[in-house]
Amino acid sequence: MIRFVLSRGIRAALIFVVASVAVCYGLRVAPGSLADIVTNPLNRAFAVKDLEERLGLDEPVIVQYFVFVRNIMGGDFGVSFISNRSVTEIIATGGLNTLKLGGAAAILTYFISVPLGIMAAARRNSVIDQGSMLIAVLGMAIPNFFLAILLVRLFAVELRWLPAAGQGGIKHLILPAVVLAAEAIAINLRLVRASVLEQLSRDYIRTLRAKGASERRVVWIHAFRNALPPVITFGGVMLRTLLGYTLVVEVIFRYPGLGFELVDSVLKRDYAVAQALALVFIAGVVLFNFLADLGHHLAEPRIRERGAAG
Amino acid sequence: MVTPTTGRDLATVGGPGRGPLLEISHLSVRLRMRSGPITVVDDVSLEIGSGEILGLVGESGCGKSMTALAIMRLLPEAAEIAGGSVLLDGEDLVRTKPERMRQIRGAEVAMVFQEPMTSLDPAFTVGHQVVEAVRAHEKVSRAVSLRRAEESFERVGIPKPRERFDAYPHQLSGGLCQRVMLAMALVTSPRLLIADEPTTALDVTIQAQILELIKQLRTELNLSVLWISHDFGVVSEIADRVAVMYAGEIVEIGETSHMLGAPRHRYTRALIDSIPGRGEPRSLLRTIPGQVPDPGARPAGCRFSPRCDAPVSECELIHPELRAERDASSFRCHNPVA
Ligand SMILES: Nc1ncnc2c1ncn2[C@@H]1O[C@H](COP(=O)(O)OP(=O)(O)OP(=O)(O)O)[C@@H](O)[C@H]1O
Ligand SMILES: [Mg+2]
Repeated sequence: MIRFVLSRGIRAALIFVVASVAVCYGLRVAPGSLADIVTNPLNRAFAVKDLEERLGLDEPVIVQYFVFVRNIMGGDFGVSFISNRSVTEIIATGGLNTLKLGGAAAILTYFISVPLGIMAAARRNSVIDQGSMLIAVLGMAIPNFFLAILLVRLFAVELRWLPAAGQGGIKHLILPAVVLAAEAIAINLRLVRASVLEQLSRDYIRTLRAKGASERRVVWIHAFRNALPPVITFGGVMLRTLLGYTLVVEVIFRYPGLGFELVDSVLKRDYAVAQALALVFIAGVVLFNFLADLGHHLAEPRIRERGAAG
Repeated sequence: MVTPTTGRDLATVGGPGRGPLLEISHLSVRLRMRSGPITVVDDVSLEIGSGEILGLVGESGCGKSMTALAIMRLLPEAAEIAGGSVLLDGEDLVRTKPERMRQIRGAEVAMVFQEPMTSLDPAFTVGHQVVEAVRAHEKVSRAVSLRRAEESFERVGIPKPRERFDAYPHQLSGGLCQRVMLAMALVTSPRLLIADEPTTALDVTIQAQILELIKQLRTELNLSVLWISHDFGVVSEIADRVAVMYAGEIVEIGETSHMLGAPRHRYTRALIDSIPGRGEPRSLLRTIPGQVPDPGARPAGCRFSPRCDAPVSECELIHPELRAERDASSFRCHNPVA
């Protein structure tokens, strides 16, 4: 167990370092520059030079990278060139917003897909089963930006039940969370259904019925408990995917989370912010991959057995 | 206590003088296949008396498990009961409501399966699974059900029951798992135990212990048993009466000792001859040539005729009826062993 965590931890750290170099370099070589955006075209040549010198942008990329790393080590993420807010503050507020949105999407995913998947498996070919498979197919087939347009049109424009964009209370969270969760619900629904179905065909299920256990116990306790490992493993993958989708969903709904800030800062060549946020995203992806590995490791019966015996 | 006797000939029941507990009449089970339905259990009638051990024997694929699962109403999805009745103390299990059937399973009719390792839930401790069997039927406290489980473990000869409670199935041997299954089946004191090849996966010593145990429980608890096996040798050690099954139907039924000494159906005789170590030296051990016909492709006449050592002309054409003898045994053969 400790060995597992250590080896995966080292691997994650390496990935993180490589990714940070790529981010730093990628942002610098992308066409366009900060100066294009913040300077007045009339005295441009002069202003650009001045600005780049001030920010160190005229240094070679490799030097800029090490300056960046040194600053981060010292806990200094810098300041936005555009808004003058500290990057730390942007990460904190954006992070909280994204956490709310991602949390809402994750809760939505599990509260819908787990019970529905179990019911679909328990009553194969019933209306519930067919309905949930329809949800699964639609959830996977409809691109999330398109779903966002449909939902905004219906619930914000036509019915006026929910706000179309922005940030505020629960109401502002509903549409983006649904859009963000749609694909995860679909995949998880299929996964839960397939996994429970597989368990229901096992010998021990017949034994449970033979001793007179109620159908509810057989399905919801025994089959579900045994169906969990793939669902847990997928949880890590799902969180990673959700994080990626916040880039799209937060921009569509103008929801001020990390994804929105990242896209915004990249478009404005706000290097300090873009760089830091990209690293936060990479850290998230690496972390969720690690969690997925760990979940898989813990859920694997034979490994669990070794843990139980020792 | 006076037990009511039915008007039925006691010899047909064979047990220690009671009416039949289980009465299967004309039971048929059909499998829905893409090529159309096939009958895997065909017009089977059996009786098991109170405290009686009935052996059901036949080669692999002849429909023994399907018969057992039909009694429990636990047939796989592709199979269905096509006709007949299964009376447990007069109550027809084929027609009873699902919730009533759930109450009967475990509490009145319990079943032990062939594969002990895969028949227990891998994610729960064995103690939990036995306690669950008690609490499926009785509203008792955890402490009481734990004590009952402990007693049941002791009864089936599991040493130090409490220490085994916390084990997961994969931490126990096949023999122990089979005992746990047995303990789980017996913890609710059922009247009928269906044991579907419960000793096939076990080595000979443990097999002998379990046979002893079943016989002992029959005497102690007046338990009735349907003992299923493909091995006539094992069945002859434990059963009061034996039903021989071939290609979905009963071909001979009668008292064990009687049948061992004077089998009438040629399939029965072939099965008996293939018991290891009976009279003939090992080198002469006989196996039955050929295979059980596929349920979809059974001969029109006697289903055993293609493999029979003494077929006569009717055998290929006319399906023999089950013929009752005076001694309450019956068989299905045009040219029986004299
Ligand atoms: N799930 C299933 N799907 C299709 N056919 C099946 C299924 N289960 C059993 N069968 C068929 O039904 C027939 C009867 O099977 P059954 O399991 O009752 O035999 P058995 O006498 O118990 O044999 P064994 O000694 O191998 O357990 C066989 O021909 C078998 O191939
Ligand atoms: Mg079988």
